[in-house]
Amino acid sequence: MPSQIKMTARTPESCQFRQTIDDAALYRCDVLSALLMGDLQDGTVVSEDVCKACCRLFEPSTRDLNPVIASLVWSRVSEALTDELSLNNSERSERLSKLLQFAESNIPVVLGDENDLPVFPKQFETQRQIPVGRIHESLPELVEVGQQINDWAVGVTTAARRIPTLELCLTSLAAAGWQRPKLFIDGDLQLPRPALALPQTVRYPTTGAWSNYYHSLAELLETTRASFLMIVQDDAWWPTQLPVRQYLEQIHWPSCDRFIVSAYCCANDTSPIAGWRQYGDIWKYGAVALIFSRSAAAAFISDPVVSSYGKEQFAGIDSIIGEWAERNRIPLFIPTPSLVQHIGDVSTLWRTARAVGVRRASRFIGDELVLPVAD
Amino acid sequence: MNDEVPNIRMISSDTQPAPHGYALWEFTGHDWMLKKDASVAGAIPGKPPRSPGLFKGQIRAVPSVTIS
Repeated sequence: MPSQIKMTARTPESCQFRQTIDDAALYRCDVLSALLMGDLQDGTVVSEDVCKACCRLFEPSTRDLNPVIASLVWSRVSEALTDELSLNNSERSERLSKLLQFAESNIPVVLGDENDLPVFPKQFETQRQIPVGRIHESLPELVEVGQQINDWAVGVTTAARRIPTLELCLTSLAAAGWQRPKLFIDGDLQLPRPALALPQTVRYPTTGAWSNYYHSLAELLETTRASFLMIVQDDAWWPTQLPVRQYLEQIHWPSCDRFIVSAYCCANDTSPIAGWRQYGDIWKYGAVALIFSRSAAAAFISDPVVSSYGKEQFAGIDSIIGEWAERNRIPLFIPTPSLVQHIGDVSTLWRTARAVGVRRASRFIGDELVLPVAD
Repeated sequence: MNDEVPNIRMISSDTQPAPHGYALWEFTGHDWMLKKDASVAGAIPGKPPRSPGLFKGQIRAVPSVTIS
């Protein structure tokens, strides 16, 4: 029997913000009411379609709008800014302009053929495995002769999210070949069942995403003798039907002491030609699943610039790693198609960064290699 | 409920997927109508979203493009 994970989905009926009104087909939204104060209360009435779309996403708040709420606020406020009240009241106009800007910042910029309302799957199924040879065909190795990755230490960094992804990450990671990663937990977190038996380090109070990442890599370095250290973020989804670990242990890498392999490739970095390639610019998109050679990890941890970043670091983890790699001429290899998908609805690091558009892998090997229905 | 409107800092490298700016499109119930052109100089709005909206009034932000 395949293992199954059930997620609890939000529904319009269970929404704590939805209030019934006299019109049976319409509802009042408390989040909109709190945002559209005073004379914009008419704009807080929504249809069932709006509620359904909103419930596909993370639960909104007045500080953290999902794209559905952001859409409605933007529409209502942009209209109000042109009415007579706003034209004659600069204070109102200023307040609404600020709200408009806030709403706009919560509407992710996404290509026209993509969906900006990512559906968080209610259920994933662990499928039977496809032979490793199929991965080799779809993702040719970079060099035929060279070193191999065969000695791992694996850590998963995690923190509280609005929509938890850790269970999906761990289950898929195990199916892909890594059954016992170490968990690095930042702050107070209720662990899902698959996480309970795993070794763990808990940082309390919360240290922040960057600090957790840095210290997790440092701890793997200090406490293991592994030749390769992989840090996986908890919003990574591995193809459960593919033996990714076996594949990564079979392919070859250039014979250099210090290098990084990203199992993830975002939409922006996707190549027209399938295969691995050395990244030719300053890498910056997606520290979703990175493998450091031991020497690279040691150099990264001890780098004075890198180690100077503190809790309030506002550059992305990926940006820090990319800048460091460029500065030290550390090669970083990325695949097309991506070996892992980025499922995080919202990053633990950035409140408004969502895994849509360039933050998703546009080519994910888990979508491309599937078992035929009749198989 | 907290009614404070915070200043959101969009600093992450991941949150700037539109080097040429963007345009906002509103779903009218039938098609997409251009509501705002925030393209940088020399760029124009890209095509509207390909799929219909999920509800009337939905706003989509689509990257702007340059014409070479």
